[in-house]
Amino acid sequence: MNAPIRSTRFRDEREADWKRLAAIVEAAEKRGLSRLSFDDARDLVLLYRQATNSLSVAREISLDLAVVRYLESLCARAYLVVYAPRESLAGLVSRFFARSAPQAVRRSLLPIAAAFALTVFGAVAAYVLTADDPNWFYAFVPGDLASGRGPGASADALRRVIYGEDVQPLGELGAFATYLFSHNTKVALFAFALGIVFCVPSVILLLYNGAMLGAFVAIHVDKQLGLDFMGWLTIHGVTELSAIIIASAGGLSLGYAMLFPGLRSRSAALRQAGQDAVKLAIVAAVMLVVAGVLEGIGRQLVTEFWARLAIGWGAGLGWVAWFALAGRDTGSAPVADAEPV
Amino acid sequence: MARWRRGGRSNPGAKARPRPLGEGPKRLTLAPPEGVPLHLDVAGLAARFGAQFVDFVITTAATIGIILALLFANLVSGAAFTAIATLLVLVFGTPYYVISELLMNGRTPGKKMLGLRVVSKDGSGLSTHQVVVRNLTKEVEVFLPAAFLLGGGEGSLWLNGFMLVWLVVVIAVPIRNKANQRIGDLIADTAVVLDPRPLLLPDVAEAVGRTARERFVFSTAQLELYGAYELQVLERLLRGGEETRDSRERQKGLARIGERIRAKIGYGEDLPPAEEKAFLKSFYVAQRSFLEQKKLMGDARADKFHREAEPAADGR
Repeated sequence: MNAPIRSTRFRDEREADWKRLAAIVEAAEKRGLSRLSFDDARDLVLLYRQATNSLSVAREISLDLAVVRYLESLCARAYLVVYAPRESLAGLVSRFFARSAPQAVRRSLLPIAAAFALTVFGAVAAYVLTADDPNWFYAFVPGDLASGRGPGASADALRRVIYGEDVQPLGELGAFATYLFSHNTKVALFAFALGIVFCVPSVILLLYNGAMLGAFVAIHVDKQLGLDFMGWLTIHGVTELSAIIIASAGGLSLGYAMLFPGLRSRSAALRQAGQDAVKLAIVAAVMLVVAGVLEGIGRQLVTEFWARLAIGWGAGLGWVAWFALAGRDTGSAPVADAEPV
Repeated sequence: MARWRRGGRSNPGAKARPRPLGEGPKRLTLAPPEGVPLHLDVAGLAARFGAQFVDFVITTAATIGIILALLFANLVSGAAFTAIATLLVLVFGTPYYVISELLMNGRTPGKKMLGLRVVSKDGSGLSTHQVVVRNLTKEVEVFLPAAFLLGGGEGSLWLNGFMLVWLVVVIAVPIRNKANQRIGDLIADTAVVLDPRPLLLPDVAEAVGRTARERFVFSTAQLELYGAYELQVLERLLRGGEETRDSRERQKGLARIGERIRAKIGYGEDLPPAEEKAFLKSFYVAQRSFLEQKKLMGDARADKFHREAEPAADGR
């Protein structure tokens, strides 16, 4: 019979089970958990528990490095298979839209209000400055976004841009929409992720975004086109500006956690703030997709003032309804009265 | 001349500075719900960079491939084509990483190729939230600095300065971190580890025949001298011999070790080189069963200085 050492006997008795577990784990990694045979699927967790048992025993009694190391990596590997994420993509998406996203927005009303206030402040400041001296316009708006609109442009030229005299074919609109979407998504992502640097980039971005808006409004009001510009802007702007505000609010709450972690460590505070902040970022991305579609297609096809207003604010109302009403079944959430759409 | 000498003097001084103890590869301890801590090797920054590079190549190749296919198939007109291309670039960004890490259990194709995977640091399974977080931040943490480096500085001085500071932050965080976590990992509470590869080596003690065990007999006093560390060095030595069994160097090495051991424990007999291996193996078996017995009785010896074995040390 038998081996002279206790740890060798220990190994001999269990080695077959370990090998079986290794084979099951291998198969699960290769072909997926759902393709395991019935016996294998049934035994996987059992064998995993036994292997972790063996590991903790082996750490105590065995001086054979080979066994301890083998069990260590076998258990780690099996652990990764046993605790693999196994939610379906469809379930994830529906849960996000039905519950977790609106709940996160409701919890983050304060940073959203702050982001909204910053945008308004930037807009008012830029409006006052530009109304006083039109040259400020060039300080606020980069050349490629202005596309010919500026203090020097005639009222006629501005009107042409607003009511899109030459309606483009649909293909080009689609391209424009996706271009805008990817551009705006980047802006929102930056406002979100850079917020981690103690809020500074997000604040700057919000002020700047507001300032651009204010400068545009100022030159249009100067030419008595204020209302028309509002119509032009609202059709997508309600959704787009809210999206950027919401993404920045996520960034602000991350930065706030970095600045004032309280009694937790900075990384713990960051993790906690990240729970909601990330949902805000995804909500913003979804809103930007819609805004891109509205901006690229809707704005060029719908040129009537009231129709534009209706579509824009209708979309805004839709967002508010989603944030305020969805996912209420668990109860206990404040009224979404500060939602700045 | 004087300068040279000064340099010469300072150099050996720098070399002689002892490396801090315990400075091995970084390791991460997970505590699964079973309550048995698992130790995993943290992936190095070079490996992670490699995985990122592979993923980048894959996504770029896929994008270009689809665009070229569309071009040659000539299915869509110019403008719609631009729309599809922009959308493709977008889809092969963050969504590619999120979905592949979700479906492949913490691995992207690049990570799989380099044997890396993402794990949740708290010991539970990787959650969707964590995967989304660590990949959302990737855009600003990885792609933005990379684009800045590749494209060269453009724009204003302020922007360049800001990008440089950001670059330093992005690189410094994972280097300083205990588990090489980047900022996204910190927010998501994840880490990237080397994929564990279980490989069961044969037991050295198994191969020792009964005759050898009876031929070499050791007294308790002789076995008192060494500890677990020396035992495991001997184990590695005996194992290392399997592939280079017939080399002369190895025979000589074994003989040298055998002599040292015999001198230390006061083993009275001289052995021919042919029996050296059998001697070492039986000594290994005797020493191991002795030490394991001691350990079972609560007297764990980490090494020959009879230091107490620390609980974390025998995980390695």
